[in-house]
Amino acid sequence: MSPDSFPQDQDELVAMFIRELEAAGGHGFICDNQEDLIDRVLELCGNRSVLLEEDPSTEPIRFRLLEAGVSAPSDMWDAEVGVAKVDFAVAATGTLVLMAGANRLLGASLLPYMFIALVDRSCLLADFDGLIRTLDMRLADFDTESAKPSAIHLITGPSRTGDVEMQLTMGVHGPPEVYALLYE
Amino acid sequence: MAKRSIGLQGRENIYLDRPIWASAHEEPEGAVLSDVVAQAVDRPNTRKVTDLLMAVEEARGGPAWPSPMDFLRERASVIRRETLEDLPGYVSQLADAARSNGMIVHFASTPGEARQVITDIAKERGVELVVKSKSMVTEEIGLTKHLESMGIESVETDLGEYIVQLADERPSHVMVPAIHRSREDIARVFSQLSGGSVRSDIPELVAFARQRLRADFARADMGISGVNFAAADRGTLVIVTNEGNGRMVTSRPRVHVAVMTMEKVIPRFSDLAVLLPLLFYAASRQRLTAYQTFINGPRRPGEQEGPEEVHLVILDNGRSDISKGSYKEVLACIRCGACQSACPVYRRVGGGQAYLSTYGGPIGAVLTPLLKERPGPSELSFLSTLCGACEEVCPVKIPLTSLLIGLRADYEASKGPYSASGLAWKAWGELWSRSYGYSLSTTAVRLVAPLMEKARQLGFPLPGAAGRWVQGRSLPRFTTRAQAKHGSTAPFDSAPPVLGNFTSDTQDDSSVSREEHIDES
Amino acid sequence: MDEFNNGISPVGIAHSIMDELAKTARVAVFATCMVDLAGHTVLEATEKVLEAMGVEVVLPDGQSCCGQPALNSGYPDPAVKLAKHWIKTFEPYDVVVSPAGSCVAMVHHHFPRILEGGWRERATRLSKRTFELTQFLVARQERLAFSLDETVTYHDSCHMKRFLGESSTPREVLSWVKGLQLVEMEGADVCCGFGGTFSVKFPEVSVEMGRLKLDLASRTQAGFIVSADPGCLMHLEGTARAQGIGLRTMHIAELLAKAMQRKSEHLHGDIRS
Repeated sequence: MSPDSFPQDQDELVAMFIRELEAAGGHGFICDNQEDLIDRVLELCGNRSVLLEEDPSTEPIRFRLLEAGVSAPSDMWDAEVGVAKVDFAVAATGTLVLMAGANRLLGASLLPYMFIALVDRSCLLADFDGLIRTLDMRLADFDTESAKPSAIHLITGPSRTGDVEMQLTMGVHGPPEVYALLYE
Repeated sequence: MAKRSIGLQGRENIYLDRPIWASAHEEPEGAVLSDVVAQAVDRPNTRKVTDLLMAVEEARGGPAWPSPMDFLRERASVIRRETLEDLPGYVSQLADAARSNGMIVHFASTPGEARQVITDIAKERGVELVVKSKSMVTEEIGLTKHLESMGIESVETDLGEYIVQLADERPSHVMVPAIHRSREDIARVFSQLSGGSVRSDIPELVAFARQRLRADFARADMGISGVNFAAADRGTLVIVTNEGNGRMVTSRPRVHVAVMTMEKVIPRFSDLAVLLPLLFYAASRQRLTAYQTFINGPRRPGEQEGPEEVHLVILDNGRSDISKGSYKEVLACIRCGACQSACPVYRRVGGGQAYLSTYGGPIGAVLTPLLKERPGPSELSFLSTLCGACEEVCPVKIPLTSLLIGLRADYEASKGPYSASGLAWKAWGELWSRSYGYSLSTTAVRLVAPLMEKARQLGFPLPGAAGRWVQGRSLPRFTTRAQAKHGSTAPFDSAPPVLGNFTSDTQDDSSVSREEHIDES
Repeated sequence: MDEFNNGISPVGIAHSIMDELAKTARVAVFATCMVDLAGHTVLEATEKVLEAMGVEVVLPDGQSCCGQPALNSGYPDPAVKLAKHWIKTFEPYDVVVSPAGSCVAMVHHHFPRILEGGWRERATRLSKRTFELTQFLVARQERLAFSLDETVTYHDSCHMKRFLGESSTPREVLSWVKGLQLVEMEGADVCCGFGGTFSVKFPEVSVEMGRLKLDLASRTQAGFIVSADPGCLMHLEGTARAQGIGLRTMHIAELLAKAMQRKSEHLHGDIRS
C-alpha cells in the first residue's frame, strides 16, 4: 500500500490506529489533556501494583499513583500493570514501538498482566513501511555501538497463541491486556 | 545443587504415548520411512489434523495471493534470490556488522561444531538453566538433548514446543509444533506433569503454561533463540513471536545466544518491510504477529535491561554447497510453514513427524536430503504426490516439485547404474520409445491383469507394485484400445473387449461390454 | 535447473491462438498409456465427441507414453527418450488433443525443462498446439446439444490445474450439458492421492487421501465424481470399489458422450440395463 492512500490528517491517523489496535485485541483511548491521561492511567491501574518507567514526563503519573496509595512492586515480576512511553506507533497496523535506552523500562511492556502504552500523537506513523524506513534511518545514524539501542520491540496487541488446535487464545507469556492512551 | 527448571518439574511422571520414531531422544535410524508413514496414517489424531488444516484453509478462503500480497511475493522472491547469489558475502557483511554492534559471532560448519560452541559458552559462564524460544536450527543440531547430556537443563518456552518437549517428541509443524496433539492430550500431559487435574479448556491450558514458565524466565542464566531474519547492513537480528517468549528469552537472562542457519541473512534492514508482512501472511494470514524483536547487541551503558552478552552462532551444515548448486532456491525459504499446511500428504500423515526429519512436509522433503549432516532419511523426496499445492502457497516461489523431481533422480542415481529399478526403467524407456515395444508390453499387461485379479480373488498375494496397489484399492480393469482408427502396427486385433475402467458405470461381473452400451443408441 | 525459475508458471496459451488453432479440421489424439491400458472407453468417448463436432480424429501410429512415470520416479533419461519419441510422433500434426490433463501438463511444463537445445524448441512449439480435451472443446466455440439429468461434482487434477493452469474449461464444458447439475465439493483441487509411483510406494496414505476425496465428493450428494484425468479416476475408482464407497467415477469425455447420445436419461438407470 502506498503512503498516499493514507489519511494525512492527524485525527484520522489516530482513529485508524485505535481501530487497528482493537482489531488486534487491544484498546485505544484518546486523552484530551495531561490530566485526562493521568486519570485514565489511574483508573486502569486500580489498586494493583504498577511498574512505571522513570522519565521526567511520567513523574506526574508517579506522583498521583503514590498519592492514591498504589505501590511499586519490589520484584518487577510481581507487577500487575506496566506503564511506559512508546517511541513510535503505526496507524495502519495498531503497532507500538519501544526502543531500549537509558531509563527505559522495557519489562513494563512484557512482564505484567496489563500494559498501558503512553502514545504521544506526534509519534504516529502511517504504515509499517514507514516504520521500517524510520528505524532504518535511525540505525544508520548511530555511529557508535554504544549509542545504538540494544533492542527495539514492536508490539501489536496482546500476547497470543494458536498452538492448541490452531485456536487463537490471548495471553501466553506477554500481557493479555494492552491499552494505548493517546495524548498531545 | 544445580538450578532446575520449574516448567519441567514432574516430567518423569508423564506417560510417553508417542511411537518411538516420533521421539526427540531416540534415533529413528532403524525406522523405515514407508512403514512409519503407514503407521502415522492410523494414529488416533491423524484425521483430526487433516480436518483441522483443511478447515483452516477453507476459513481463510479467497485466492492465495490477492493483489497487494502478490506484489510483496514478487519482491520477496527477488530479494531472496539476490541474497543467494552471494550468500557468503552477505554472511560476512552480517558478521562484521553484528560484531561492531557488540555481538560475539561464531561460525559452525557442522551441527557438532554448533553444539560445541554453545555448550562452551554455557560452561564458561556457569550456566545451569536455559530458556529457549522456538527455533528449527536448534532442532537440526539436537541442542536440547545435548545440553541435557551436559547437565544443563533447557526448557522450551513456546507453548507448542513446551508440549512436545514434555511428551518427548519432535515438533510436527514449523509454526504449530504440537498440531498433532488435541487439547485433551495436552490436558493429560499437563495433569501428569503437575500431579493435579488440568482441564482440556484452551485458556486454562495456556494459563498453566504461562504460570509454569514464568519462574524459568526469571531465573534462567541463558536464553537461546533462533533468528527469523538477520539484516547484513545493520547487523540487526529479528525474532518474531506471538506469545512473547521471544522477548523473554532475549531480554531476561544474562546471556543470549541466537542461532541461525546462514541463509537467514537478508541484504538490507529495509527488506523487512517486504519480508515480515509476507511471512505473517503466509504463515497465518496475520498482518503482524504480536511481537517483533530487533536485536542490535548486548545491554548498552545506561540501559537497565537486556543481556550482558549476545552471541550469534551461524550454522552452515552444507548450505554453502547448496547455494552453489542446482537446488539453491530451497535456501530462499523463510520458514512460514505454508507448504506444510497446504500439503495433502503432510495433512494425511498427521504432521511432520512421519517424515523422520527435523523438517517435515514439502520443504523438509527437499531440504533434508541436501544437508551435510542429514537430520532424516534421504528418500524423503518420494513422500509427495507432486501435486504442486506447496508451490502455490510458497511466499518466495520455491519450485518445490521441480526440486523434488531432481532429488528423486539423484537418489536413484546414487544406487549406481545397475540397480534393479534403474535397469527396469532403462528397459522401459527402450521398449516404450518403440511402437511395437509399447503395443507388446501394454498387451502383455492386459493379458496378465485378469490373471492377477483372479489370483487376488483366490487370496494369493500379488507381487511388487500390484501388491501394494491392492492394499485398499481394486485393480484397474485393463482394456483394449479400439483398434479401428489405428494403423497396421496395432497387434492383437482379436483381443476380447473387456470392461472400461475409469468409470464405475459398470458392474464387476457384468459381461456386457462398454462398447455395447455406447453403441446401443 | 541452473537458472532460477519462478515456481509455477502455467504455460497458458493465448486464447486467440487457441481459438484459431481449434478451427482445424483434423486433430491427432494422444491417448496416453493409462487410457491405452485401462480406459479405452475414454478414448472412444473422446473420439465420439470430437467427431460430432465435425473434427476428423487421427490416432497416430506408434504413439506411446509422455514419459512422466519415469521422470517422477527419478529416471529422467528414459523420460527424455519418451519425450523425444512423443515429439516425433505428434510433430506432423497441426493440433494434438488428449483426454488426460496431467499428460498435457507434462508436455507443456516438463518437456521444456528436461529437453535441451533444438529439442526444447521443438517441444515448446509443439506444446502450443497441444490441448487438453476440454480446452479444445471450449476453444472450438461450437456448441453441441448435450443433455443429461444428473448431479455431478468435479475433481481438479493437480497437474491440470497447477501445471497446465486449467480449471475453467472443464467446468464450462459441464455447463453446456442441459439438465446436468455441477455441485462443487470442498477442496475440489485437493490431491486425490494418486501421484503415480507414490500410489505404490506409500499405498496407505494414497488410499486414505483417496477416501478423503471421495468423502468430500460424497457430501455434495452428487452421483458421480467427474474428472479430466484418467490417473486420478483409476485411483479413485479402485479405492471406491475396494472400500465399498457408493460414489462413482466418470471421465468428462464419457459424460459428454453419454449426454450426446441420449436426449435425457438418468445415468443410474443405465447400469443394470
